[in-house]
Amino acid sequence: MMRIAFTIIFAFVLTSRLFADGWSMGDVIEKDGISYKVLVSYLVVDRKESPDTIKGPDKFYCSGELMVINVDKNLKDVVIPPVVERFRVVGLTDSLFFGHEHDRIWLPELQFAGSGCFAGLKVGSGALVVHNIANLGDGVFDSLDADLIFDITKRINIGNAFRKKKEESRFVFSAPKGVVKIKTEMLKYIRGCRVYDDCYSATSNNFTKWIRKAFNGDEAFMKNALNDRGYNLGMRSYSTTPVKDKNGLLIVVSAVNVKGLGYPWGTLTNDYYRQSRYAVINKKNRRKLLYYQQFIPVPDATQKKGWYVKFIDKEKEVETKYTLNGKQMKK
Amino acid sequence: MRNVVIILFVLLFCLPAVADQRGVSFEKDGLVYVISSETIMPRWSAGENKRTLKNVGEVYVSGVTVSDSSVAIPPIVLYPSTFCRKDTTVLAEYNVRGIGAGAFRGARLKNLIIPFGLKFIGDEAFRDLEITSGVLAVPPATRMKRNVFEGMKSKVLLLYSRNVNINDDAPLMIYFENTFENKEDLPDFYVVHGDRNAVPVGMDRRLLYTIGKNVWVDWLRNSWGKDFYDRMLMFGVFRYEAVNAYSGFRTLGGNSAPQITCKYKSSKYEKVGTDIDMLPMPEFVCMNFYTGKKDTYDEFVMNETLFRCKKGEKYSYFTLDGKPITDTESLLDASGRDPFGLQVRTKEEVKEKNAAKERENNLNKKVDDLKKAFGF
Repeated sequence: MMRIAFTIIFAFVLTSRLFADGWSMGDVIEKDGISYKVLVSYLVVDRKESPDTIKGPDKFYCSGELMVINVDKNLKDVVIPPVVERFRVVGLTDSLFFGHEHDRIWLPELQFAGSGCFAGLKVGSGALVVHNIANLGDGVFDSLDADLIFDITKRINIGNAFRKKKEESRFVFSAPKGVVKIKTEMLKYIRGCRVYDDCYSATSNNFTKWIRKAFNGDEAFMKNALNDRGYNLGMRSYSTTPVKDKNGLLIVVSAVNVKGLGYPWGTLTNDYYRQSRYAVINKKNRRKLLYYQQFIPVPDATQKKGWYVKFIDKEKEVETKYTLNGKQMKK
Repeated sequence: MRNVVIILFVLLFCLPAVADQRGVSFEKDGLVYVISSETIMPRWSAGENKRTLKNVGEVYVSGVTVSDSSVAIPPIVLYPSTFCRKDTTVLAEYNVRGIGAGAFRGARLKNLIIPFGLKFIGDEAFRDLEITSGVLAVPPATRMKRNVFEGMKSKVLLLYSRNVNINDDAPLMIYFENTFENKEDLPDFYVVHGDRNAVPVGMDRRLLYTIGKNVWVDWLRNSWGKDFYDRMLMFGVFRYEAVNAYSGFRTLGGNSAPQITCKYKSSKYEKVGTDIDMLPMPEFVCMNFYTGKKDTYDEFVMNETLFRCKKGEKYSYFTLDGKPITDTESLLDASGRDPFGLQVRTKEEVKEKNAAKERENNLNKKVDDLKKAFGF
């Protein structure tokens, strides 16, 4: 009896801790005047942990991807961090800054920026700096009331970012009111785009001057760039048993595009669809790879180590439970 | 003693043969030009369908006399010439080949249009120049000298693109000779994106901003004026460029007439720093089928009946079919000038000659009188 009561209390404590960090798909996080929507979430472990130290469900944290869905209009300086509570900020929703006026904006590297994201935005410092954005929607920079500085290091999919659709379904060129600037060495990444013939470029020194001016020469503000490195998103591969154990499960988590439910960034933010995926390998038989959509470490005092793991395949609506040494449990 | 002889010998060959007009300056349309060479040669006139004799030559811009206005340096400037002609109403065709040292120093102009194909832009040519339209479009010359752009108060658009098809005949190699030596007070330099990879000798790429083709077009339209730009565009390519002043020709129609080939003297002249010496004198190689000889001359002029060549200090005269004229005295007029106006005999020589002739006439007259008196 005591044992059951102890198990219930233990399970409650652990579960409450898990949910304290936990955000699931569709949740909205608000922080510093900026709202983020959780696009996908999955469980990771801290980078400091190793397979030898993962000794319970409390070692797992929620991580995932976020999309910025709202920015407070009254913010003077907007800093969108690359990571919010172990969630990576991957995109900006459609028309996010439409009609806004901010003094300076700091953006991280992004996977996408929705249609009209910076349209009609006025930047007090005179220039908007964007880093690598893998995918851009339609008319992203339409009538941007500032210069646009592309601080990129790889190819970006410009698509219709400098075009907008008119009523008669015809695309017309739409550019910022200011000029488009880019580092000379990176011109190769926009060759072939219409904006190539309309942009300015400069070599390293002069380009840095442009960026410094875009941030009003504020070194402290420019240090936001450091946030892009060294953040802790957590490890996405882990094991249920210590390294030397011959039994156990290796789990690798990722987020995948689900075509059946719409391509991610196909029309970017509206049809955006990503799903967590756990690849599970049994140490005994490494050739066999099983995929699941959800992973739940379950505290259970009846188990030898005090917990077991449960995977859910949502498509088949099947739950599968494993002991920590990789043995499938009966239902 | 031997060394002195060698030095004198070297100097003798280094001294350029200076034509009459070399160094003479004139002013036209707000610009001051200096003549570096001139000759008279036949040019085919397509409109009149005949050959006419024309004064042709080369000049460079040495200064500007106007301010707050648009100035266009033409590829060819027409100006009345007195070189080897009695008729001074004839307009000579001078090809503009360079911009002299400090030519636009401290000037304030609305626009400055520079032709393609210049051979040099001299030291500090645009120092402290202010272009009120905001952009100076500079087709780089073959040789860009020291600190050409120092202190300029407008953007500089360097045009040497083949990508944008502006100057097919632009020099293949452009030499920047300490053009960016003083980096303190330089304007912003722009080139078209693709041009950065074709940056010529001596250019510091780090100084360059690059711009897209559309920006380039906008700037040129604003700087040159829409009409001018569109006119350039109508020809398909930008051919606002100087052409070669001198070309080969025959003194008469037909294959037996002397064939003259024009060449520039050795490139060693181009290594000289002074403006005028950056435009070397042409030399004229004459293949004379009448005499069967090939000679090289420093100067060549012709009229409807004969041509004159100069080699060193000696002048030679030929008929148009190449026959040498040995009796040069017969060509001189009463004042001792040849048909091209060259004072071959000095006034004293002419005076003495006339006096001798008069004495001879008087003597002959006296002899005749004596013969008559004594009944011979």
